[in-house]
Amino acid sequence: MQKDYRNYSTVNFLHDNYFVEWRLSPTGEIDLFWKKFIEEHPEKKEQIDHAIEIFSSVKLNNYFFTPEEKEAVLKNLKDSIRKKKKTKKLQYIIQTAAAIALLLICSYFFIPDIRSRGEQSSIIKTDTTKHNKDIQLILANNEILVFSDDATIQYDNGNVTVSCGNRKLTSIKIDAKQTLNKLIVPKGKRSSLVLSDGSKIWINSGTTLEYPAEFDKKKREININGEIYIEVARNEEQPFFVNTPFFSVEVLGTHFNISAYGEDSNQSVVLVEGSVKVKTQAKKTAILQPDQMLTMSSDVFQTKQVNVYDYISWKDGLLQFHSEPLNRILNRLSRYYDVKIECESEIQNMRCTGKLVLFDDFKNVLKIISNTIPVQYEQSEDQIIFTKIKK
Amino acid sequence: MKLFSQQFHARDEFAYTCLYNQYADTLLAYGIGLGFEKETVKDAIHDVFLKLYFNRESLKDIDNLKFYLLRMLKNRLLDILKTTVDTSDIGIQELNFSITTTILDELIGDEERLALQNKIEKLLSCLTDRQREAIYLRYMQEMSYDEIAGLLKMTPQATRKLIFRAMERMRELDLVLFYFFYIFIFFISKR
Repeated sequence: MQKDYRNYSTVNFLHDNYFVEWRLSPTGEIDLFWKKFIEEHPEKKEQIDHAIEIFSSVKLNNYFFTPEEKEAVLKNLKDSIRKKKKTKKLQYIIQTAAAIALLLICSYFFIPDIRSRGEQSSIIKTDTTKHNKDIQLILANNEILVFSDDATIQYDNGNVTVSCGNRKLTSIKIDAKQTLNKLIVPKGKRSSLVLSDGSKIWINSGTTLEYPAEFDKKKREININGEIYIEVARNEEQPFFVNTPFFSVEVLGTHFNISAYGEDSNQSVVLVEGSVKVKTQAKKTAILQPDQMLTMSSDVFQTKQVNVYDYISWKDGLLQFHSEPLNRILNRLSRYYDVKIECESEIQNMRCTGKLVLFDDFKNVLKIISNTIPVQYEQSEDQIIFTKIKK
Repeated sequence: MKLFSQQFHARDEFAYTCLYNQYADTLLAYGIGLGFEKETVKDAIHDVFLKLYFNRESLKDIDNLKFYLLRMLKNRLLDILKTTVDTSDIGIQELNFSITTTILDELIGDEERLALQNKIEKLLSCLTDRQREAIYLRYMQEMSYDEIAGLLKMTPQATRKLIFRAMERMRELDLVLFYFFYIFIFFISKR
């Protein structure tokens, strides 16, 4: 009783029960029928593909939280966690107090032994203190490496090597290969990283990155909060996923930049070459072409053609921009150098075009800005204020 | 997926928040589909994630977090249901499953969109609750037979059969409409 589908248009297909059933559950007999049909009637492929594409926007039970609701539930959750932890803590404190007392007594006898240990190298290994201004590399066994200069980190054959410029700092053998390592690059610092599969990542200031020392066989997956430029080593059998708190990007092998800072209202992906697929939590997807930028703010996608180098120039130590508002540039600089920068509202939207070399000394950068555009700056103890030049 | 659960070892709030952000809507949609009020589902989601936080050590071996979370949510909702109504005569298997359809595409006109929406809802309405739930999990959550089986508390084989029956049922509806149409044409042409 099969109908004659040869004259069907896209809309006809969408209104056909047999087609709809197929899309709802592509299994068994029905799946075979349509696959065979497409094979035998390649001239209908376009209409069918179009109908499939439209059908992919059909959502069943498309319920979701408003951002406020989502936030409220999360806040609630964190409060509950805190409360529950407190009750657990009390038990814990009593137990630990007893343990510490015992430990103190024992350690008294061993103190000379502790003192005789050698001095550490320029890398400080620690597991308690916070190093807000330093780059931290947290290995799977919770060992933390801290370095104060911009570092290059390389994973290779089960070893991790850290170097600054040409100076090799350390090399460590990794045991737990599948567990996640974490790299925290604070504001004012940058790093680069070579992953075990050969993919190269440049990490911009104020970024946290998580990745396994060695990837799963089926797929490669890393998590970021912040900005990176990544050159993914091509491997079609092992797709690469970059997850951010807002969306995830799936690639096979390409070069692209992701900016997804938790505190920014806009997130973006800029593609240099290859192709990538971006997917949000709400299951929205978009495919990017080279030279395109996708921006996302609260789940709304926008794609446009851009000058790619503007977005990745930071990795070469300079900023290039085309008619970019001044406050956006200052925002990037503030993160790069870890200084608070304020900007008078009158000049916030001043459009700037050009290149800015990111000198080691921030004062040089400030001088160049004030020499080239009609603004002046005042430097106080903890911040810099830009104002319009007064005549 | 495995990566995400492993992150918990670092007691990491960032990973936890990511996880929550990623799955909150999915859980909400599934809970509402099962016939619960939004507020009830919200409470259940809260409980599920709280449990997840304190049991993260046991998550190491789980490689399908979505399935795990949906199952936890369903169990939690059933528990809530048990405390609110006398369930002595309600079997656990007999939850309703309702589906509403939304079409996000703007390429086709309103009329076509409405027609497609009606069609899908009509087809789904002739199914049993369990068949609907299975189709929902397959289509929206892209789950495997094994995972659906776990959520419906039946064997993978029975799940296959269930979906097969669902397809057959939609097929029957299709045939009836088809023949009606022909009889209709037949009468018109006779006049």
